[in-house]
Amino acid sequence: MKFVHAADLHLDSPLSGLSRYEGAPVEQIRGATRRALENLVELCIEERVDLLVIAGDLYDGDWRDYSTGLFFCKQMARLRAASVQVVWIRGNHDAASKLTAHLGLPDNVRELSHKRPETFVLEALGVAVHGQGFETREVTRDLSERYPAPKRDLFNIGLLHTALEGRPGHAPYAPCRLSELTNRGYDYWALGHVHQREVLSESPWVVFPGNLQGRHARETGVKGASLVTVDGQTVRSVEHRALDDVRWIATSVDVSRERTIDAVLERVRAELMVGVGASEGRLSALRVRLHGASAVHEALRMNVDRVTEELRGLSLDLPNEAWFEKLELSTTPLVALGKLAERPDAIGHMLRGLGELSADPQALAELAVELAELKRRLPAELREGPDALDLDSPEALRALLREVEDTLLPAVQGAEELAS
Amino acid sequence: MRFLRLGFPAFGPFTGLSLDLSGGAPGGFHVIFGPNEAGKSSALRGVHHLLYGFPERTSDAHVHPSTELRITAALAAEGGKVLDIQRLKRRKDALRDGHDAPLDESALSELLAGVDARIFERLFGLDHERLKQAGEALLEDQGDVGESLFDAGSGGRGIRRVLDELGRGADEIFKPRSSKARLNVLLDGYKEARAATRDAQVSPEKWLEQRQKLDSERKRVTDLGERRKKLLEDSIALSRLDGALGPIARRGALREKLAAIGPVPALPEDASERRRSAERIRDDLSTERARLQREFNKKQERLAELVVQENLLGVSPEAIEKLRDLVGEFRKAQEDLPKRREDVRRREAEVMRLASGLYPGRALDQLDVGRPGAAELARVRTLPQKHAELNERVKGLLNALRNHELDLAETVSALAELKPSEELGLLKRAFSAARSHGDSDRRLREMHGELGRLEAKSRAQSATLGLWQGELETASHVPLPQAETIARFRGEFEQLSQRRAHAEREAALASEQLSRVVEKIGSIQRSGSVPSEAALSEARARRGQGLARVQQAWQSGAPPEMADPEFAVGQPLIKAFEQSMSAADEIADRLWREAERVSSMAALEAERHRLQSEAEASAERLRDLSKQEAEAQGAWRAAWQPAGIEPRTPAEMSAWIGLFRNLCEALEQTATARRELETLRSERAAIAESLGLALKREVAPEQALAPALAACEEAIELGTRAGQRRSELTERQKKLERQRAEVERDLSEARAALEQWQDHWSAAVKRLGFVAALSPEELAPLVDSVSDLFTRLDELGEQRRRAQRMEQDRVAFERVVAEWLETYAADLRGRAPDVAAEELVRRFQSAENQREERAQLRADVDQISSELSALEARAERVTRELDALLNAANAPDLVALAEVEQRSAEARELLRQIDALEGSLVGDGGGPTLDELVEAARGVDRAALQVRLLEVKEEIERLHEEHQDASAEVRSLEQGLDTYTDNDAAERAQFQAVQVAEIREQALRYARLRLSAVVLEREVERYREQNQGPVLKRASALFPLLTLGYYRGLRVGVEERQIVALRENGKEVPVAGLSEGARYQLYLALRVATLERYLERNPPLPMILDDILIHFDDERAAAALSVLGGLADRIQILFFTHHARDLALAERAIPASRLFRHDLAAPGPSATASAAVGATSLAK
Repeated sequence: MKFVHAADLHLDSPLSGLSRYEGAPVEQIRGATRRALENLVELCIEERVDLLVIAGDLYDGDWRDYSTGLFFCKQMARLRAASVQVVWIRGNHDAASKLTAHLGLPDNVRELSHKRPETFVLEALGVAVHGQGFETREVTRDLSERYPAPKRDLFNIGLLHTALEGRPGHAPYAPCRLSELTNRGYDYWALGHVHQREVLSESPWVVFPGNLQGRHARETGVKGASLVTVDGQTVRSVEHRALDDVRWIATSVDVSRERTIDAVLERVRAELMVGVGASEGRLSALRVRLHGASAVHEALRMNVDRVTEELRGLSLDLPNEAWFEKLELSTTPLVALGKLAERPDAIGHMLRGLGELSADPQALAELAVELAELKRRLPAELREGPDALDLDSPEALRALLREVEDTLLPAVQGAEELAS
Repeated sequence: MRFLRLGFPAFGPFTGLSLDLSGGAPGGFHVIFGPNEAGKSSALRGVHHLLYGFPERTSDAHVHPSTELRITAALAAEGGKVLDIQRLKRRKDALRDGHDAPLDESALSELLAGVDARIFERLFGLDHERLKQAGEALLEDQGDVGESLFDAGSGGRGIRRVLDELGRGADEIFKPRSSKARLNVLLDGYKEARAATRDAQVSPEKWLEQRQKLDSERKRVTDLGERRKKLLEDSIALSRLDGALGPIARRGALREKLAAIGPVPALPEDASERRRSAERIRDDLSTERARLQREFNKKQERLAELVVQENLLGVSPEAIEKLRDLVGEFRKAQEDLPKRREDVRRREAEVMRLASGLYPGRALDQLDVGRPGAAELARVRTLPQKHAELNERVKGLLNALRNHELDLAETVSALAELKPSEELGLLKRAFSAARSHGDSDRRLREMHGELGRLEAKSRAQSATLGLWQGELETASHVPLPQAETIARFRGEFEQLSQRRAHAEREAALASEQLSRVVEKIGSIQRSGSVPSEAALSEARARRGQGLARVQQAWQSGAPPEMADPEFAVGQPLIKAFEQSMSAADEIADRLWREAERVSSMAALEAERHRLQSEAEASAERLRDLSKQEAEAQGAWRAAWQPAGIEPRTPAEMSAWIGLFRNLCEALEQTATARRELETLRSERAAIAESLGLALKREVAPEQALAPALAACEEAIELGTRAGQRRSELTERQKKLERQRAEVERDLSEARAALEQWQDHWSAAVKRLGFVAALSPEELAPLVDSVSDLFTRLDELGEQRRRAQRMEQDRVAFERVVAEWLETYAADLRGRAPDVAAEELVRRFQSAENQREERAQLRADVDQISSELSALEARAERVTRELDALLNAANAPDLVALAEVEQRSAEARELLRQIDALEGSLVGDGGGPTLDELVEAARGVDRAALQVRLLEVKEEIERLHEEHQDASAEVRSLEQGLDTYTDNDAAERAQFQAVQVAEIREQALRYARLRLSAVVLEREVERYREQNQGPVLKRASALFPLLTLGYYRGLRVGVEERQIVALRENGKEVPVAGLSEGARYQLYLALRVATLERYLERNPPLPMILDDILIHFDDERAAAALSVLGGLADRIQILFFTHHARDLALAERAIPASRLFRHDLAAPGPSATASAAVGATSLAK
């Protein structure tokens, strides 16, 4: 018996953080989550699996377009034609979704109840799937507590959308303890909610397969689902299969030995060749972080726009298609800023002043006023939520002040000739 | 740090140039004079490259190749330590020490006190271009004090320009009311995109509606299809009937014809054909029988004639064939034999001639004895070459041996000359311990300074604090309330005061409204009484009472004029009742008439009641608040009680606590500094002691440690180098000895090989049968001849054997032929054997041919007999066939048979046509049967039938169109539903996400630029506040000197923050009013003042000035030189110029003890420095 374990499809939710530029592969990023789902369906068909379990979050809760649901139906119908059974539960995003309520799915698809734990037995396969979906968006009690006892002589799968004991970057929904899952007597816990793949236990198997398609720069690397081969009640293998359509890649380059921008670009190019090679022909979304104490620090700071443009251009010449997402400058100057700040001249004075400013909440609050109008005009996505552009907390202002320091230091020192 | 020497061994136009800059310590004003093309700019660049490394590309490699560029210097640290350095143009190990060993950059940056290239250029470098720019910047910002000071303090970038650029950059991105700024455009676009996403979304309801429409349309398609099918069936039935009418009529006619032919035997269809064929066969058979009989007779006759020679039969054909081959071979051998014998004789003579040259006296048959093999000959050929090689090798080895011995003798004597080694461990340990401790001299000085500063700071802070009078030492233990407590009180007080203001506002409002309402009531009342519902009820009650009384009186018979004092006094009852009646009516009428006034009055009364109760509630709230305020104030005081402080307001106290914490922090820093100083002192004592031990002399810990460290380093350096030399030599000696032994071994091996070769040689020569004394060169041709001789000897043997074999073959042939003749042909005996054999062969063949012919004839006769029998049988069968046909037709003879055949064929044809018609009527089946059809066709009107058929077809056509329309509608609905799965909305959402990313990027960029501008402005202002005093004061003193007293000084102008210059007469001149030159001088004054302030706290570095006096007239140039000369007391100044005027002016303005002159001679490979004025020789 073979089954595939997937979770967190977030169908039709957009890839975020990508700004356009001349030559950016705009067409190719459309519908990435849909293509990832198609890949999932093809995997099931090619591998002739018997069962697909989805551990929640098919859709994004606030997404209302019915065509998303219809697309899902269409894909499920393909699985029906290939005799693949599908069992799924609602996650925190599906609970609120209007789409879930209206959708008539093909008869090979079975949703487990969100009112109480339920067991679905597939006699022909010798499998029992236990699970309970989210009834509301915020489920803060341990759902697994009331899951039924395992069925004798069957392969028992627990389907659960949970943050376990808490996972960084994920809301702590349906909390539960790993030890209690492993003691339940099930053979495989198919978890969802956490977007990073993680195998928590191999006896029994407790697996987060991660989401199907990375949607922003914090979801890097291979994304897909787990293909599980079972012999009787024994798991023979758990393989992770890459199904993503766009691969997010973060490349960190130490430029402490480089002395010119050209040399930096050459280094980055070499690193990106390697990075993009790992995307196996997919479109990649690239973030490049430059770090290290380097002679080229000021030149990079002064020419951040030019370097970004160069890197964008460079990403057009890579062997696979790529979208350059962002340049993150974390370099530091060769002379420690602390040392510069000790100097009793105007520049030292300015750096000390910046340091004092960072430490003074009152002064920071006054600075925030300068950005109030901007903040008021920003779109809702940037005013609140996970991607919000925080412009008035002390931490955010301190981070901005570090950039201010990087801007002012060369400007005041007149580093324009360094740039050339 | 200062330069003692600056050298350009190979750099720019210079070769071997060296400048002695040691004079004038600790300062010194060095004028470096280079007319145009002398390389002044190269020298200036050289100073920077020396200190901070070569750039990737250099313009100074036009005389010397880039790989050979070299700049050298001797640098003196403040403590007196001297560092020799060299700078090369390469990526690795570009910095070297005086011995060309790689030197870590940190050694140099320590001397530079951490000042990097840019700071060095900004603070210690000044050229005329920068002076000019700075003067322009002063004009641009109108002499803003903060910006000018900041410019001077940071190197003169023009802070106004930076601020403008930042502001412009921010405005290009975002402006609250712009429609063109980048971010504004993006935000507008985003709004549109968001609306578009919403519009593109499909709701489930809309989809379901479309879906239902599709279902109903599909049902319509099905219904139409079924109706059409039914009609089609009808149409088919009608068509079939229409088509059947004709065939049914034709069938009737054919059946009548068949009846006319009458009964006739049913002959098979092929009966005629069979009859004709049988007749033909019968005729053919009789012809064939006659031909065969003739043939048979001919064969029999030939057989009787034939005679065969039986005695020659039975010999195998292979034997006969072999005999014929032997005849051919025999004849050929008879021809060849004489030629072979001649060849043998010729070859024998040749071998004898060769043998007599090599081995005289040996007979032909003895030659093969002791014959050498081919391998042996080949080996002998290689021996001479090997001999030459061995001789060469021995000679070479002897030479090498001699050379090794010479080298060895040299090395041993060099080793003997070296002095014995010394123990370095102690020195190294002491030195590295001291080194790891860093520059402790400087740290000690700095820490003394730091301690003093911290103590003064805490005293000053304590003095300005107020409110608290405790001892400084107890400051950190004063039990102060937590910041959160103060914040809580602050919030509480604020809340209370807000609530009080609110309550007071409400009370005032209520009382104001109340008085307005009372006023309105009064005014209504003043304009006449107001009738009320109450008054009406009262009047009606009285009227009712009156009526009762009147009725009572009337019933009791009392006169109506009687009085009823209970109802009304002094009036007759009836009158009173009338009055009460009219009074009630009057009130009712007025209520109706004055309804408006009545209702206003009622509303006002209600409002008055409400406002009165509100006023009471407000008063209650205010009382309550007063109580709470008193309680809060009490708690606030109590919070400060433990610290013994009478608090002011929470806001003030919050600031005060900040100051108090600063004080505690300052006190803590002071204590730390004191502890660190103590630690440093004890560590220095330990270092001094270990250095003294290592150097074997006293080192006082209270003095500077640098000289002792330098001595220690030098001792280590010397010891290390000697040790290295010794180990190198010892290593070399060992190596040479090892090599000599190897050469000796090789030599003896080579000699042994030569001897072995000699043995091989003698043996080989002897084996060939030659004398041993033969030389290798003589042997070669002899070996070739021997090899040739034996080859020919072998060929001779072969020829002899061939001749012998031919003779033997001849005798054998004759014997064989004789045997054959004995058996088969005695008549041929006596003939030549080959002729006889040939005849015999011919006879054998003839006998064999006759035997074969006889056999063939016998077989042919048999064959013909059997064919004749077969012919008889076939004739029999044909006769039977014809009889059968006659019987079937019941015909007496063949003529009658032909007639019956004719009639039978006609009847058959008619039946076939009838069958075909019936078949076409019934078709493939599935329709009506033949009988049904015939029945249905009976009495049908064909015209009516065709009209009906047309109608049905039209109906079908109509339904077909309708069906097509409905199907198209279904398809379009299906396609419509299909498009609902397209991800339009998702794509738009993706587009929206891209826009958000762009907005985010621009917003962050805007925030960075905006804050940069704000912060810079703030810092410039703070810098002004802190430095305005000392720097401006000093600049104010320098400015008159630089302007030769034209200006009296500087001050901050009436308009705050503007620098103004003061004329001698006290008049203020703004910067814009200064001449261009005066602005340069103003900037120079600010720069010198800033540098002096820098030097108060930091170690000095040389100042590099480049032609800064270009824009100064002679007098002011002299004044500037004099001011800079003053600076040269404390720091070294390298003054590059290409004006001879500057040299003369410097000699005038600067004391000779401090002034040094260096000339960069005309460019060329021989460029050198001329002697400096008053320069002392370089101390190393």
